[in-house]
Amino acid sequence: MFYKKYNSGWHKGKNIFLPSGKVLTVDNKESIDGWEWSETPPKEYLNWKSEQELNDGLGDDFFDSIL
Amino acid sequence: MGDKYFKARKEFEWKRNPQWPSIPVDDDNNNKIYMIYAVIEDNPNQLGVTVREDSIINWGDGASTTQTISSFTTIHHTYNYATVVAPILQLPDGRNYKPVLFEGIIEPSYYFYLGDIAPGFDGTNNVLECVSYLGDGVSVTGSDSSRLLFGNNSFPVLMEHVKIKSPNDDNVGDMFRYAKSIKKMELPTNFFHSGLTSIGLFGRSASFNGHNFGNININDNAPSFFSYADSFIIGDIVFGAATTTINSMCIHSNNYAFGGVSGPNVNNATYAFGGTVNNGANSIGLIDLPALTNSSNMFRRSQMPEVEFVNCANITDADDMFRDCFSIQKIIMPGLTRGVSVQNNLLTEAAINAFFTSLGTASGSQTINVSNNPGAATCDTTIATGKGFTVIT
Repeated sequence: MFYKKYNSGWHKGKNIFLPSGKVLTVDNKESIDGWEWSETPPKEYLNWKSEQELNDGLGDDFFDSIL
Repeated sequence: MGDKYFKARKEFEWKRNPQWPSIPVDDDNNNKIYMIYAVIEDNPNQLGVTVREDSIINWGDGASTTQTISSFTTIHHTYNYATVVAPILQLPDGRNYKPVLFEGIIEPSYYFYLGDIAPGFDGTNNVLECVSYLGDGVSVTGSDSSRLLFGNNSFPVLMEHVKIKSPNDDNVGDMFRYAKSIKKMELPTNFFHSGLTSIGLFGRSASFNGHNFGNININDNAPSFFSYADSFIIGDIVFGAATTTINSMCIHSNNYAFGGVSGPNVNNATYAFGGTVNNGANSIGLIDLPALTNSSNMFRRSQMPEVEFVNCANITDADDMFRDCFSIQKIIMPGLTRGVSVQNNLLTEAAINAFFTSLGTASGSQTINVSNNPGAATCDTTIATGKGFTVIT
């Protein structure tokens, strides 16, 4: 799977079509434009994902909005 | 497009309890309001209403109060369950109550406010039914002509039926907050008129049983109305020039439909039709918010099948805009220059290509995620990559 970190989170995908015309797939695991192939999710990605799930249902927006 | 998909619960026929006192018919004096009030066993049974001088309150247990104070002041009454003469009935939760008929004869053009203007002594959660004949049924302007009901510190959790003859002049804020038992609503056709400037917390946490509120005009900023509410239908909503943010407007609401949404100056719509709990909007019409810049989480957890904007050129933040959405079949975002994810939806190849076609030119490095849609594998990614977007399929 390809991973790319951006400002507020992560992109993840199996097939990446770049503006240059290049296509990143399981057959082309080139690292380009911030995209990196990884067989297992990067730890930093997992931490971010975990925080996202924690926010589901009990996120700051929830408490902010009931005050 | 709303009716095409949205299947709201229909308002079922409300059966008024035949043992409640009858509500008198309108005498066309435009100055009366009636309520059926539940005097509940082992309950404080304290009611406050806020009126000006020359208003008369017949509480329904034989007591009467004439307001003598010229300013807008709350008068209180405590019902005694033991001495009230009325049939003993049961609330759905099993508590015994005695229904009494409250009558307010209000000095014309003055406020009537059900509840205390300060917290602590309102008891309006005992109201079972409210019929307001205040106002002439048409006028919505004039000083002190607001006819506020169920606002701020009064939460009509037991109210089954409400009928209002005249629209408030400018303020419906807080109305029907926590109205969890509504079975029938009868509002004047121009209830949501263009003169409303305060709508905050209208309907918050209420259950509307599929009531259709029709078209809404609002010129309030940050109108967090209908938040946490359940099962309602709104026609077209038109925001005036004063509305720049609709942030968290319907946050955490459930099972509802909107018609078209427009507003020339709305720039912030974060969580407007979504949230982190509940299903959010089930249907929404054409979205015309040309000044929108922040659309993050705008539809999070919503279930609408179609999302069509008129103009997305000014959006600079679309993070999590469609997070946890799974029902989208059509998405059109003309001029969008920022990345957005619509993964895990129901977009066909043609729908994805139409989405790509609607996009503007990417502003720097931007990513569009259409993975896990029926048309992802066969869509024409070059439509989007040709505009500078990276595409995840």
